[in-house]
Amino acid sequence: MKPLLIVRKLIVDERNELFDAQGMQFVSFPSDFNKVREYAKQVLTDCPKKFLEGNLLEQQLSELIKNGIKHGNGCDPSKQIRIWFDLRKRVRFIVEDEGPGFQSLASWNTFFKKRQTALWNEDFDAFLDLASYKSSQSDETDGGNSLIAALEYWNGGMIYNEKKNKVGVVRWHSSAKEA
Amino acid sequence: MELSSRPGNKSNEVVVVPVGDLDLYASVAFCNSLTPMLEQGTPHMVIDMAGVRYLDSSGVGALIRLLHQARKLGGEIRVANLSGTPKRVLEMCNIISLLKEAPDVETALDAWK
Repeated sequence: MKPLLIVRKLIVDERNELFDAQGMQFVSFPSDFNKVREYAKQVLTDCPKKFLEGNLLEQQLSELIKNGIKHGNGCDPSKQIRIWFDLRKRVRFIVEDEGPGFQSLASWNTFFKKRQTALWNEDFDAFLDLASYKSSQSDETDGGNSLIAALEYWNGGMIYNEKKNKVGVVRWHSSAKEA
Repeated sequence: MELSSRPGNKSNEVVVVPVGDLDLYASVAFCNSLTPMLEQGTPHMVIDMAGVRYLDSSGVGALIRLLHQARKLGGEIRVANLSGTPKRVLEMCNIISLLKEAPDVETALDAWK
């Protein structure tokens, strides 16, 4: 018998402990799309190597920053992207933009459930059609899959605030859990 | 990102070799360069990922667009020499199952014999 399909989803929880910034470092950048990766590298300057996983952590942080700068702040340089980070026992970030919030969150969850169901059913034609999420705001630089990988990567949680302009994430590493 | 290409074993095959980061700054040009190759008689494309050390969601999106186009033209996209972060990212997006992966270019081309 095929096991049950369990699909993760983006969660809104204003009071989640992932938004507790006590003890975290803080940095703020203007919304310059051309500096997305530069900002991520800057935040990770003193990150322990064991958390970097090659450049995977930089890639995942860059996605959060890109989403905030592009979709949140509309690449308006007068608007800031604010990042709290804690790289001690595990990797933890809070990323906040000044935009109206991720209004498509519920429809993204619906999309993702359909996508994963198609994959589960090995319906690859349907899956290919659902491989990328597209909204009315998407353009050709939007891969439409950053949140898909993010749900997998941030294994300790990925939570949005009520306004949906702030996301808290955490990634645990097995060696850190044992420490 | 640098891009080169060479013919495959058959006239409808092409091997593309990108070198550099396939990221939010390079993905559009990457897609725009490869799409005409698919449309101009070589819809069977092997992308040699040996020189790509960084892949983000924009790059994944570009690969998906190319895959759509290849299938529309009766072709296929295969990726070879995938490792490190690009492989992890494609796995996390579940895209590996669509992009047929081969350990090297010759194996990818042999699959079309």
